[in-house]
Amino acid sequence: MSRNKELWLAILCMLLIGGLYGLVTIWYREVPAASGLFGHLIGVLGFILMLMTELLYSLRKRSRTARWGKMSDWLAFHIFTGLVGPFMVLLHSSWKFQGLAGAVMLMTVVIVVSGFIGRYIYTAVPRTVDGAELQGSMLEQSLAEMDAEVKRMEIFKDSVAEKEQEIRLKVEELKKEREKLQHQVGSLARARRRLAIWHTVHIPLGMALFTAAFIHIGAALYYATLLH
Amino acid sequence: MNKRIGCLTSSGLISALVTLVIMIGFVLAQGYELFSPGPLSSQAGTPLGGVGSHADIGGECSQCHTAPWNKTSMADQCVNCHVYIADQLADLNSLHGIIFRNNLDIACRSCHPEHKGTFAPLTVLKKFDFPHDNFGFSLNKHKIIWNGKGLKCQDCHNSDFYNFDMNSCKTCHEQSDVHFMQTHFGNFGSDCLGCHDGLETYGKSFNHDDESFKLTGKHAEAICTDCHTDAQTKLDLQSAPQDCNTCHQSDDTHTGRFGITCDDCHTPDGWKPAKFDHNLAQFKLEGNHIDVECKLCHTDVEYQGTPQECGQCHEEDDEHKGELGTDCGLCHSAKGWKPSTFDHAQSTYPLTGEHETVACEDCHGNKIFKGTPTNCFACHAINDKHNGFFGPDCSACHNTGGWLPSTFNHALNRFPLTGAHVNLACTRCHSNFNYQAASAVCASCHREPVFHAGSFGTNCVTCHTTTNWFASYTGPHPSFDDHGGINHEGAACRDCHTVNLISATCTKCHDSNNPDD
Repeated sequence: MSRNKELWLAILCMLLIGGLYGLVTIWYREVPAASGLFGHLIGVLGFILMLMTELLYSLRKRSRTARWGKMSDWLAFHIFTGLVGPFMVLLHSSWKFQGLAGAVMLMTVVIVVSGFIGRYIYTAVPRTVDGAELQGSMLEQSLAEMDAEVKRMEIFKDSVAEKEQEIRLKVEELKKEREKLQHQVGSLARARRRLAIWHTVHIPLGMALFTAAFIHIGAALYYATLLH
Repeated sequence: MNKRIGCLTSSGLISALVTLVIMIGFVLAQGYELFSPGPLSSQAGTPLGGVGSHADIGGECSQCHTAPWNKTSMADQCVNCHVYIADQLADLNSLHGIIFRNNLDIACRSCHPEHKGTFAPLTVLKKFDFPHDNFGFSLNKHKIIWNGKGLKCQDCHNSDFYNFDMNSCKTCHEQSDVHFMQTHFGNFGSDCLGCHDGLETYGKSFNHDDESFKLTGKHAEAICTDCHTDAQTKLDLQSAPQDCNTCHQSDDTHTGRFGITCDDCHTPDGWKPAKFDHNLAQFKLEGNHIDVECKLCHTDVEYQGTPQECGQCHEEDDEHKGELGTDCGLCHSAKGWKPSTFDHAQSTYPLTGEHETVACEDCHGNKIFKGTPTNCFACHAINDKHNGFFGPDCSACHNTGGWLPSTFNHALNRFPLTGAHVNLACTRCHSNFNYQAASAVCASCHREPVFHAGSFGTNCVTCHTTTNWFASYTGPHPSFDDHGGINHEGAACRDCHTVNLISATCTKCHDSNNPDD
């Protein structure tokens, strides 16, 4: 749970919003129209969440001066808004996927899928506790420190017999960690390459989505909301 | 910032630009269809300006949509084509005229949505924004129909909203209760709108107690058609007669004899108990009559023309067996048979004196009042102390003031009373009330006095009269004729006969009994 808490939280939020949507549907005996009060509300809120998804994590990631919160938390928030926002926009569509609005919805789905893929590529790159990417030399240094610690522990284990079990477990844990780190060192170049490619696709997709979304909003305001 | 954020990267900006170009390309190639939320209706109507359906102007958004800053509204655009609607808006009695008169903020699209699909209906009156009330029928009670679903316009109007087939009422309502609807149609006809206005004025929610004629008692159990016969319109229902007779004429057991205002005696709680005020009738109920059951006098539920003569009801319990006639009231009152108040003075035998206090049955044994003999002896034979000697006519001597004093006329008798006899009490001569045995001989009462010394017998009248007991003897004086005769110088008998008549003395006048002295 704690490992993917943003995912579970997003699912919980989506269930709540979906339940509310269901109640409104039952109450009015029809699917809430995109142009209705409820449809508009979830559309506007969903789009704001999507904008937050697009901007906040990106700004924090690139800022050197304003380092509010840990990067990993910002990523969790990015994932949360990146799931809940599109879900609300999906409900806003009233299940009609035609014209520009349909295209925007389709792009939203694509970018969410892209985000899931990016999430797994991201974890392949070793990072510091606050989520900053580790450099190759730093990895080598970490490996050397681990080897020294294992050696020191094994010596310590022989001298303190009563703590033998505890020390042996710690050593095994260190060895596993070391093995993972070693694997990351081996695939670091490949992972970075994948992440770069993913960024190349994900960012333009996002921009295309938001461009289309803004045009959709403009057209809706022109043709529907502001019509008289 | 170490790097530009994603949206400002070259790939991001290029992507946005490409997206924009693609859209412009779409617009240039296919018009503004790109922004359409759905296909326009292809339902063809009478062509207006060469346009058969909205689908014909698909992509030409400006045909309907105006810019927010434009003064003309989308509704103006509608009536630009649908000119007849503009005409209706000017006519406040037309469909659209009524709608807009009562809903100034209503727009065409409130009822006529578009972009819902090629075959989607162009008139959708969801949530009853349509002011149906203005057309004489509220949809207030029709939000949900018999199957629990919401009412659709087509349920009543099919596809023609301008007309309404009342058969659709029957068709739909039969789904919930076919028997009721068939009966209802049979009773009230098929002009549903004649009575029903959707507000349930005369439907399930109708409360008859809100009307001038409240349904109470048995009336609450009646069905509508019991009173509202042949009602086909609301006016028929409202003008149902409220007088009792119209409905109850057929079951009026009095067959109209008591008029048409049943409620003078009855209430809606039932025909019984009735509360007829008999005191308003000719025959007022008093005394024991108050507690008598109606049917005892009014047999066969016949209340008018009931005979008022006592005998009509009391014939069976007339203890006089009819001999005193039928007017019991002459003697009796409604308070009871007793005490009766017969005025004997009006009869052939008025009661006077002691008779006034005599109990009726003393004379009228066996309660037979007629033909009772009026002769004294009929009653007094048993207590006739004369044992019939004086005959049956007691009144010859007595009156009703009492047996005594009696007034027997002795002069008519063989022994007329004269002189001192007149004032004698009867019993001086008639002892033991025996009047027959009394003798007329003087000696039966007057025994011979010692003074006579048996010299004169019993025939007193020889010397005495009833007026003067003193004797006036004029006969020969035995042995004294020679001595001055019987008058002897005016001497009375007792002057000489001081003891009795057979002895005499002279010494009362003379010095001795010797005549010579």
